[in-house]
Amino acid sequence: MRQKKSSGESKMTEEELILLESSRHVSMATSALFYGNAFIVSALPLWLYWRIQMMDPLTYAIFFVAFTFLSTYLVAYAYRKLQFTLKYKIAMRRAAVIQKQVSQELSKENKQKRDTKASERKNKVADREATAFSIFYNNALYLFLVLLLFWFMKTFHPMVNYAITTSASAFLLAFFSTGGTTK
Amino acid sequence: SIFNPLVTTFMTRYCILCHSEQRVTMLKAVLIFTLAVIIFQLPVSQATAHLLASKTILNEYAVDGKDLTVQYTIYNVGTSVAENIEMVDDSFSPHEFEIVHGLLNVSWDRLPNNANVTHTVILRPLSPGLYNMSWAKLTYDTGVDGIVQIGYTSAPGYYRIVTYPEFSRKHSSHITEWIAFFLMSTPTLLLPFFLWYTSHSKYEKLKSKKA
Repeated sequence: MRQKKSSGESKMTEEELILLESSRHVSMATSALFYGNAFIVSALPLWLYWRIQMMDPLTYAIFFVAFTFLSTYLVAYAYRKLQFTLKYKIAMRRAAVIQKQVSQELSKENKQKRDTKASERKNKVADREATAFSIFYNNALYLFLVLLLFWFMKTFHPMVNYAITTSASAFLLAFFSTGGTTK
Repeated sequence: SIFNPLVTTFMTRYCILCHSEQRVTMLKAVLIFTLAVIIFQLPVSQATAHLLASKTILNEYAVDGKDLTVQYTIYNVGTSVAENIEMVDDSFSPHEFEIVHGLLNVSWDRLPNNANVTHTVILRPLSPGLYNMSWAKLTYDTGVDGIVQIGYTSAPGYYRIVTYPEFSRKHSSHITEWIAFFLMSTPTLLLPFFLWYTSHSKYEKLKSKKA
C-alpha cells in the first residue's frame, strides 16, 4: 500500500525501494538474452557491407569481429539501462491489477501469502514486459541509426563507413538509454 | 608586256628600298617567283580519295572483366573511291585485353566517295588501372598514280579501368540485398514487440475492466 507522502518531500515507500533495487538486478537468463539479441542486431549490418559495399568478409574478418563485439557490448548496455528504467514504471502500473488478480485466485490464503505472490508476479510481468520493450525499442533505434549513417557515409571508404556507422550507432544508443528516469 | 612597266613604275615610285634599277630588277624577280610558287601550289582538280577515321569507346565506364565496345568509323570525304583499305589497331595489348568479338586488323576492298563504314570490336579488360587508348593505323590507295596514303584514327585518350566491386558499389541498385536485409531485420523487431504487446494488452484490458 502506498503511504501518504509528506508535503514537499518525495519519499519512496519501503516497497518501492525494494522494487527499485530489484530492478537493477538482471538474471543470467535475461543477460544471456540481451547479449544474444545484441549480437544478432550488431551482426546485421555486416550483410550490407559485404554485399553492397563489397567488403570481402575474409579480408576484413578481424575488423568486422572487433566492431561487432564493441557494438554488441554497447547495445546490451542500452538494453539493460532501458529495462531498468521501464521495469520499475511497469511494476507500479501493474501493481493494482495483479494484486486484485492474485486476491481472486488465492482468496482462501492468508494476506501475507497473497502479497508475496502478487509481488512475485508483478516483478515477473514487469521484467518480461520491460525486457521485451527494451529490446524492441533499442533494436529499432539501432537499425534506424545504422541505415541513416550508412547512407550519409556512402561516399567514404567502406572501412571508414563501417567503423563510424557501427560505433556511432552503438554509442548513441547507449547514450540515449541513460537519459531515462524511474519516476 | 603590260605587266613589266607597271611593276617597274610601282616599284620605282613606292618602294622605299628601291634606290637603284638593279634592286628594282631583283625585287621584280622575287615577286614573279613568289607568284609562280603560289600558282603551282593551288589544288589541281584531280580526283582523289581522302579518308577520315574515328575510334570511339562506346562504354561510359570501363570495368575489369566486363565487355568494352570499341567502334571505328571511316568516312571517305574525297572525290574518288578509296581502295585496299586496311586498318590495324595495335594499341590493345593481348596481355591486358582479351578479344571477345571482332577483329583488330580489318580490310575493305573499296569505299566510294561520300560513303562511310563502321566496324565494332568487343574487348574485355583483364586488369584494372589507367590505360591509354591510342590510335589505329589506316592505309589505303588514294586512286592517284598508285599513291598509298597512311593515316590514323582519332585516339580516345586515357581511360580508367575500374574493378568490378568498385563499379558495383557505385552503380548497382542492390535491390535484392536490401530486401534480404529488411527480411532479416524484421524478426528482431516483430518478435520482441509481439511479446511486449501480448502482455501489455492483456493487463491493460484487465485494468480497464476493473475501472
